[in-house]
Amino acid sequence: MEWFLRNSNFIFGLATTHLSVSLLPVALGSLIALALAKFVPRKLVTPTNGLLGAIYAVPSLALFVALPALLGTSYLGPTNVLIALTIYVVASIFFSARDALAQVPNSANLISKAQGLSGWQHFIYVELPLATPGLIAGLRIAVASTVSMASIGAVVGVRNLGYLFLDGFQRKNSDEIITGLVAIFVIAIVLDLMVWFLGRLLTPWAKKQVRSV
Amino acid sequence: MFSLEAVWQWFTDVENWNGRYGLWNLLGEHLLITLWSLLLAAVIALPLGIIVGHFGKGQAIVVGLGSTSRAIPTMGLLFALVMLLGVNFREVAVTLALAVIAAPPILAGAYSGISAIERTTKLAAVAQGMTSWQLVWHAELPLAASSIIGGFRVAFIQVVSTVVLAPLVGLGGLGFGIIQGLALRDFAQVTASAIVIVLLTLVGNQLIGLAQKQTRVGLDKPIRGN
Amino acid sequence: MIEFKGVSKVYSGSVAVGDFSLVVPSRQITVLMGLSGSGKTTLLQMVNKLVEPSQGTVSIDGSDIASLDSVKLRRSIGYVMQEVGLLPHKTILENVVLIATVAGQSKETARANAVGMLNMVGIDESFFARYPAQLSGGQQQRVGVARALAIKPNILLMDEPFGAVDPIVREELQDELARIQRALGLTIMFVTHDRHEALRLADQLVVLSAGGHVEQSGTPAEIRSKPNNDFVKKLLGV
Repeated sequence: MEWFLRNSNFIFGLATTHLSVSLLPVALGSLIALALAKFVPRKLVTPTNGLLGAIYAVPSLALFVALPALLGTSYLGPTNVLIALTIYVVASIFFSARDALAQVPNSANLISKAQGLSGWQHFIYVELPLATPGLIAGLRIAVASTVSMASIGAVVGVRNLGYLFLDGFQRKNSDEIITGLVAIFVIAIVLDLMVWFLGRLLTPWAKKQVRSV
Repeated sequence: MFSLEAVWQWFTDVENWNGRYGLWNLLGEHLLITLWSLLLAAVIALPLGIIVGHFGKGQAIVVGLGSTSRAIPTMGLLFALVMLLGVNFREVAVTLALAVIAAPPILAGAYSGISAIERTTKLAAVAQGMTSWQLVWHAELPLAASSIIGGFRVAFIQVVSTVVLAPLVGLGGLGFGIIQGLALRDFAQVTASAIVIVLLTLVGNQLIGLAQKQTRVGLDKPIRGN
Repeated sequence: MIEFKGVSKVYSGSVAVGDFSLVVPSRQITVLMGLSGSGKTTLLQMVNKLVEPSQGTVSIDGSDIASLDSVKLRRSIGYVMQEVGLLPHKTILENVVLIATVAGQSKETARANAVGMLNMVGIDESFFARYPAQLSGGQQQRVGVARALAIKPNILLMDEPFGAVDPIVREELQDELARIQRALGLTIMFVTHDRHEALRLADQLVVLSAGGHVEQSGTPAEIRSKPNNDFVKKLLGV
């Protein structure tokens, strides 16, 4: 605790970096994944699933250092980390977004079509709102995993909270390591709650229960 | 910085394959510690998941565990446990940390697989005179097999990924090439090791995925393909 | 007036409808009655192009609808189905207003029409701000009908709309529907497998057997007094 207070400025700086390195991929990745999930042609669904699934299985550190070979970026620094994390988010949310879109009730889809909603109107007024619970759930998972994975970026030189683990281990300072653990855990939980709350805001109809007459 | 030729040269250098820090040995270490931790996690998480799924009690805890465990940084857990148990016991510490990481997905896979089995299916089995044990063994486990394997798949990926970091606490494993390579600025070593790791995970993921597909029981499909 | 000429629908190997012809007169309730497999829903869905015929033509007031834009067509025809399909995330009023605005009405007109139609089907104002999950099945279907009517259509397509509702409420809804049809001069095409409903509602009753085959067509009185064959007798309990 003492250690934390003495170095709080430094930790705060690390935390800010950690947040930006986590949230940017989440935001970008979600949009890309949602667009993919909605517009991927039926024939390409299985190969896309397979490709994204394979990439998702690759360990983050390996992906961080493999990207320079593929993209010509430098080995150290945040660029690879940002790109890799975005790819992971795309994979994770692609799967959950597809599930979420698939469980929009058929009757809603049929009525929408029968009453002449255009494709775009259908997406905005029917699909998106009804898929929201599933999308929110997927988003929560992606946020938690990304915040956790971002710490590994410290190994390639990103000055985020993961640095506390590396430095703490070198100096045999367990306070430092614990601080890192707690900080990341707290950030993940807080973000999770925020997304959950966002979900509640977006789905007011879920709160009202059936009261049959 | 990146040179295809340098990487190729690194791969064709026999020295990089043999010896304590050669690829073969590192691969072996990596797989061994992965298997041990999966086993340890399975011993606890699998029965627990089956029990909670079968009796339907305690789901809230399982689900809660699942979401909170995702918030714990795997890297931090690794370092924390090694510090806790001391550097002399780092192998145990790392195995323990990996087991903690592997447990939630295995638990989730078992739980959701068993609990997803329709009540009517279970009821029919019981009505035909199966005891609880028989129900679990003959009906629930085969039907939940695909989901259980799915849980192991997630756990496998998580564990293999974390073992890549093991050299940071002084152990071996395929991550060694990356971490030493970064320190010594030998980017050929870094890239080559990354390639090996990527191949390992791709192959492992595919194989487990195949097992998952084979054991999946659809309502209209035969249980073993014919 | 809706006219089917030599219409058939084939799905890879199986014939849902084979060579069907019928004139659905304007300002009347035409009931297609049959068991499952008779193709009645398929035929209904051809009118707003949810299904396209494999052969034959469907025309509305003399024009072949094959060349018409589907989306535009559907915005001028009311559609009511058994599951109702109210959007669960919108209030009752919003549900009706949405369809009206999609059909091109201005916000004020849409709202006025929505309120008007909801009143016409007997939904009290206090329900306007509720969500579908808070209404009974019968009430939901009333809203479903109001929604279809809010676009001021000439044609109303109804696919077993009262099937999920209990018998007493069902009769009430049938009576209301008949009243509304007379008041608005609607052309209604109504699909059901319930004989009582068919006999009660139909101005023109079309009895179908498998594959859209017309066993008999006429007013309920005509069919009752002179059933063509045993199938019709059994189906209608005459």
